Amino acid sequence: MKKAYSIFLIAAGIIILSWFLPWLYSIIFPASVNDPFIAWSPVNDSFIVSEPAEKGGAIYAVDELGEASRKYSKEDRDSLLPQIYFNQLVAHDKLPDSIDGKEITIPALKHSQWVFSSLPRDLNKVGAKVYLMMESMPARFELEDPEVVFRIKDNSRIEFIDIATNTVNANKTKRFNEIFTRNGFKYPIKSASADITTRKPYDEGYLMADDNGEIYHVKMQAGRPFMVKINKPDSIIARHLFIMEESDARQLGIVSDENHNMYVIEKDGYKLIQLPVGKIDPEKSKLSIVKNMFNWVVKINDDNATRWIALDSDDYSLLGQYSLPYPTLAVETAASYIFPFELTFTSVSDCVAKPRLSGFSINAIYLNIILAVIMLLLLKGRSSKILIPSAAATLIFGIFAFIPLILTKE
Amino acid sequence: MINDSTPVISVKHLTQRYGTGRVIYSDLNFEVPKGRILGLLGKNGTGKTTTINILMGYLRPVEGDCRIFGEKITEIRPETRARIALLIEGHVQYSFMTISQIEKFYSRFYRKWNREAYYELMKKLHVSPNQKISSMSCGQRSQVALGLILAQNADLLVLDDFSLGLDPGYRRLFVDYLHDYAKSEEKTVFMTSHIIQDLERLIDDCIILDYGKILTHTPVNELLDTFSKFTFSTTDDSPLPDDDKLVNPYRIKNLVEVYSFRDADYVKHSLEKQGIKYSGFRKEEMNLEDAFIGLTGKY
Amino acid sequence: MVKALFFKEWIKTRGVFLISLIAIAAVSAYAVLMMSRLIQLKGVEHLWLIMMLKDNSFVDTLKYLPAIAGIALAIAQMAPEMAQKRLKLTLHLPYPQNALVAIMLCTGMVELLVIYALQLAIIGIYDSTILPVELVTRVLLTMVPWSLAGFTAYLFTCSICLEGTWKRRIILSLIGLAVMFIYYLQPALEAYNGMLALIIIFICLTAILSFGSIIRFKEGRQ
Repeated sequence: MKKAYSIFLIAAGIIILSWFLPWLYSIIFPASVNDPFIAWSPVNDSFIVSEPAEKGGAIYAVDELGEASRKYSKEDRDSLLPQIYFNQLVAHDKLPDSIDGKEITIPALKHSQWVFSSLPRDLNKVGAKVYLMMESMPARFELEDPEVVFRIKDNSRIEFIDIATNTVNANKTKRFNEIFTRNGFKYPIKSASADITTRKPYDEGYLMADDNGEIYHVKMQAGRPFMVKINKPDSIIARHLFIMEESDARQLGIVSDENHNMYVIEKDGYKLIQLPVGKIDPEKSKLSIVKNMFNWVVKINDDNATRWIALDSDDYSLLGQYSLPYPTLAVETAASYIFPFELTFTSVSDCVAKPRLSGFSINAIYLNIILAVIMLLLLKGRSSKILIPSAAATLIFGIFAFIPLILTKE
Repeated sequence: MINDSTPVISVKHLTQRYGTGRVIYSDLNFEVPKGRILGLLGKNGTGKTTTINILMGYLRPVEGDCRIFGEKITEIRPETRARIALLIEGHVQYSFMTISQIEKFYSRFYRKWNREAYYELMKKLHVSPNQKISSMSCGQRSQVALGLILAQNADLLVLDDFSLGLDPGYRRLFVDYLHDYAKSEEKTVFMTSHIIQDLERLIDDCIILDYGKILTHTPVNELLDTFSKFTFSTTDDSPLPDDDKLVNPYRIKNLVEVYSFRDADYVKHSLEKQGIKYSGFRKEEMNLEDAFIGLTGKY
Repeated sequence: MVKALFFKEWIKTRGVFLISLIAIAAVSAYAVLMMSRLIQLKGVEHLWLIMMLKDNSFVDTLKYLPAIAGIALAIAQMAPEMAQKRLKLTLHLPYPQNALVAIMLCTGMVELLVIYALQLAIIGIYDSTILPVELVTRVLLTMVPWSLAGFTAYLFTCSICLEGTWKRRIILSLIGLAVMFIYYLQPALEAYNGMLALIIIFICLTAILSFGSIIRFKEGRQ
């Protein structure tokens, strides 16, 4: 029991310190990098980079090789990016009438704007096992809060529950089951995306992926089910879906498949079109899309770099790409010489608490060796049963083992 | 094999220090035979409570072999613990219990539990069975602790400084009760106290501890018979006797007192040999406390 | 003997046990009241929406109570043992010492279990009258780590109380504090689902600390 006590105490110390020390270090030496603001100019067909204020706030265009080509003033930038700075342009009466043959009016600009972002933490969380369903064709035209939810019962059928009474709505259940069966929906639901809010122009219900990765558009119209199975090649197996309910109503949503390719679903004819944005795993990377009447700028925060991809808003063709690798920060390098690894329980990429080891660093071996030698010196004369495990633990766990071993030495 | 001649407590080569520092005692050896009442006496800091803690398994000694009823103290079986009644310094008990709760509690653990012995003593206290021990006076609490010890009907009683915080009445009550009980039931008692007066009426044997060693381990009668105090007058400038058989010589003005296991003739002879002039040489009557002071000195 | 030992632990802890029970029942009832008020004012649909869209469990007020109850119970149980080294009496009882410590810890754990079960029952029963089983489970699964935090707090506090040296007490307190922190790192609903088994294993191991403190007590580290 005595041995178990000592081992547990040291082990608890190692666990706690391998979590706490790196955390404390990151608080004392914060290592955050702000991405610049980058938009695609329909005027000179290049990325316009606006550095954050703490980095000098420079504004410049980047060429195809990603090199800064020309510096601009704020006023220049307003003219280069009319889709964003139209208010400033109007104030100075500089808003052009058209660009690339597209007529420019403020309502048209506003109408085509859509901003979307997906965070890994929103996808990697334990969701509720019931789903709210809105009425897409409300009697008074204005969207109303949902009155029903649905669940998947016994992994074989959909079941609707009236919120007000917390009882099963047999009618809806029957109707939706019929249509789900008819469309060959394979339970369980792999992904379901809806934007449950009354503050949107209209409701398109759900984009759903079934267990086979088939994509469905499901909504409730006047209490009755509406379901469309979206045509796609078998090779595309949907993983994550994101419904779009933007003002110009051209697209229904975005699809990310098991191979991390991205697609857009056009509302007209439920066409599935691949986006030339490379591989994106929304479970790992933060993804944002800023859409306007000229282009889409897709921004992805990957493991090593931030990527920007500009697409033509009409045919989704590639306009340009730019990427900024994350800088290696001195505080991070220093940390790699101190901590052999890092234990965290939470992550910015999910909403789940679980132990995870990361940041393994071979650089820390130097410090580990020094600490292990100090440990041997401090424990000189003790039996090898204490000496060897203590030194070994210090060699492996470094500072995380050294501190508890020293503190509990008697 | 445990038989009647096996000592109830046996301590061999016991060494203990404060942490890694000062040695409290080294190579301590003693035994407590069955049926004897032994008092462990010593000044503060000589290791009385330490010894009890070691014997009861609350302190691991640096070295030594301690056994109770023949069992190593670190491996005492619960059945053997049932044969040992323990009084902790300050009569500490479960003071969150009431008189009756605590009796009920302990009765479950001791096969030979004597409920009457406990309640007989409680009757003398004029407390209600529902009174919480924490609401009692120190003296009353000591009687509760004593009652529980008597009711346990243990073969060995270990009492750590039972007189601490007690006024004379309760002390007397405690001693009388304990003496009757121990003698009539042939119990073995191992006790410490810093009030030696009380012990004289109670103990058969005493161990007197000095810093680091045992000064004497002998029956009290024998100690009082063989150890004597001598007083004499001498001149102001006369030196104190220097003879290792004459212990703790002490002078107040021209009156000198000295203690010895030797007889008066030896002492006189020794004084004469050293050329110390004396008059009014007397052998004085001693009680245990005098003997204790004689052996350990006043300081 | 086992009964007598439970009885002793019960006498020490019954006050804190009852106060904790009442406090937790009262706060749970308050949470229920808040929910029913919201339903009265805005309808049950509103509650469902908030719960599903804003990840609100409506029981956040109950978050730290189990831990507080665990600490209070441990102190009520172990402080009297350590005051005047009363533990010596306990360890002197003619009963196997490890079993004795196990019974002490068991009593506390069972009492906490009752307290936490009451809390889960009040919320669970009320919620199931207004929510589908999926959301009831969601709320309860969100609350379970709080109860587990309570057991952890209890066991750490026990080992701290039973420990005899200040240095070791501080070390145990710091580890305990850090461990408690982990329970409240991620506020998302059901965030700890994947870690529950691990937590339960850790809690079982945490009991070792109290046994260790007792061993140290017997070695004289007091």
